[in-house]
Amino acid sequence: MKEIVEVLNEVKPGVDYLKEENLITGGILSSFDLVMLIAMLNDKFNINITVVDLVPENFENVKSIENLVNKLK
Amino acid sequence: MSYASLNFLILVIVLMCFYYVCPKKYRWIILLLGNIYFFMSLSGKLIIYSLIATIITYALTILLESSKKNKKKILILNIFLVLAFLLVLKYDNFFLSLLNPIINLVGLKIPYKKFILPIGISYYTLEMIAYSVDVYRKKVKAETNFLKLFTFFTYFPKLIEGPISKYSEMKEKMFSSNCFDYEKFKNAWVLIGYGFIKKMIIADRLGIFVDKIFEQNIIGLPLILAVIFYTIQIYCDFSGCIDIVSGVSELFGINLPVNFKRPFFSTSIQEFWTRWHITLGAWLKEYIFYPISLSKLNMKLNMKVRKIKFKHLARFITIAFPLLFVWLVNGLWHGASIKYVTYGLYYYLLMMLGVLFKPILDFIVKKLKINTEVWSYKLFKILRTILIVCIGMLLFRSDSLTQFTLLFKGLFSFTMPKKITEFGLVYKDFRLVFFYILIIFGVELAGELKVNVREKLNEQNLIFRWLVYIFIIFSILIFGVYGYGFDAKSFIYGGF
Repeated sequence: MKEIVEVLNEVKPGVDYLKEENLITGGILSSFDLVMLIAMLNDKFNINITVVDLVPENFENVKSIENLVNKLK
Repeated sequence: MSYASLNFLILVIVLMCFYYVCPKKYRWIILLLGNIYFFMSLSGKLIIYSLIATIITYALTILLESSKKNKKKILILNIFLVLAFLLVLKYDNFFLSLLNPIINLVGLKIPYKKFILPIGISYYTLEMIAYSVDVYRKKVKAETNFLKLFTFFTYFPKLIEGPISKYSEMKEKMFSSNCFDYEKFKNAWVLIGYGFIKKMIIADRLGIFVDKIFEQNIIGLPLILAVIFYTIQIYCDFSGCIDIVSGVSELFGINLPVNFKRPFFSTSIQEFWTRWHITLGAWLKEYIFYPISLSKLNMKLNMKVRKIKFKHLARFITIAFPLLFVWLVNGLWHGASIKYVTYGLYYYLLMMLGVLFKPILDFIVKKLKINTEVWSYKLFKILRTILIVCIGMLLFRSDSLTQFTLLFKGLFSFTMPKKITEFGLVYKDFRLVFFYILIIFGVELAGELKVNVREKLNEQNLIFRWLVYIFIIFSILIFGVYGYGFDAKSFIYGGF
């Protein structure tokens, strides 16, 4: 979880990611941020997040991102 | 038959009667019949194009779902075939105008041919592509009832101007047993009335002034006014139409997706495009921006740039290529001409500049200790966005790039007209438009403050509610701009 928060902070600093529950539907992460986030997650965890995985539920909060990463590992 | 016409309202009322009398299980068939009647009354035999495109999509998505090895090939074939109709019928002359100068070098020339477009082709083609991609991505199951799919693609309220809808989000409401709900019925008519006010009192009236200025290439203050008026006109025309069709759809118990979310409260261009023509923006994002952004090539590029420690440049380069496609398609979707391509590229350039200079702007804001949270700074950002949109609208409204260049220079000319009433509107019209714009602004502001005006209206006493209903009806009857046969002017976005 710590590593995901680090990546998120690198993509868009200044957000309390451990508290935020609606990163996508709340408009905190833009589509540009999301593309950067996926590129960095792919790189860091050696995974391949594809368009099929690109649903709000997978990126709404740190926990859901962690679940996605674990699923694709 | 325009959405803002008496004939359309009669059709809606007749369909509604049949819809709620019909057994629940078969109600969608009334919609199907309504769709066919509406389509044929506007495009006659050209309905065959949408029928063939639906047959292709229907057959290929079923095949795609059952296929194990050739899913991608079937999807590409589906997209190619459906897109071919649009490309040939709408864009043939545009592509020929680019191709002919090249093949002229070897003495060849392909003759130009003008096709009549079936109504709504730009909208239902995007919906068909979205549907087949969603089946491929397993977001929706391939529909096995052909007539249901045809009912969705040709659904008459959204046929001409959208909103661009997704089958996965609409099918439940469209094919479930919707019961008549008096509350929804009342709310729907308020929305329809609100749409008619936007269209017939504001948009069509401002259009008279705007047309005169652009026809005569008037410059100076009247042109500045015309650009502002056109921005208001196109918003009231398009969002008014969406209000009317959303209200009509609600009469059948079917909610259409939201297409406008108070765009003129946006603080940036990026935000503006998430609030204006939302369904087109969402389509472009989901089916063009993300697939190109997340392609292996683009991801590799991102990784390489990040490795040389240019984090900010990595963001710029990663989105530069996908976004170029998004804006090219956005421009071309609006029309087959260089003007619309330039319109798309105008926003592309602005967005890319915004991304490129963001660190510098952030640095300036920090150094100057500008408080970005105060309302005055937000207002500044809103006004800056409106200014950018207005210039975009000048390009959008101009007949050609030549006229745009001429008029853009004309914005800085200090020419004063003898009288502002020389351009088709008298002072009474200006006062009237101003009054109704204030009402629209009030409703939009309430929306920004998370107040649902229709719900609030329902909470009021009977007398007040009826005063509002009567105000809406008489406003449209007395102050609406009427054309031949008491119909409103055609909707601008219907032309796309």
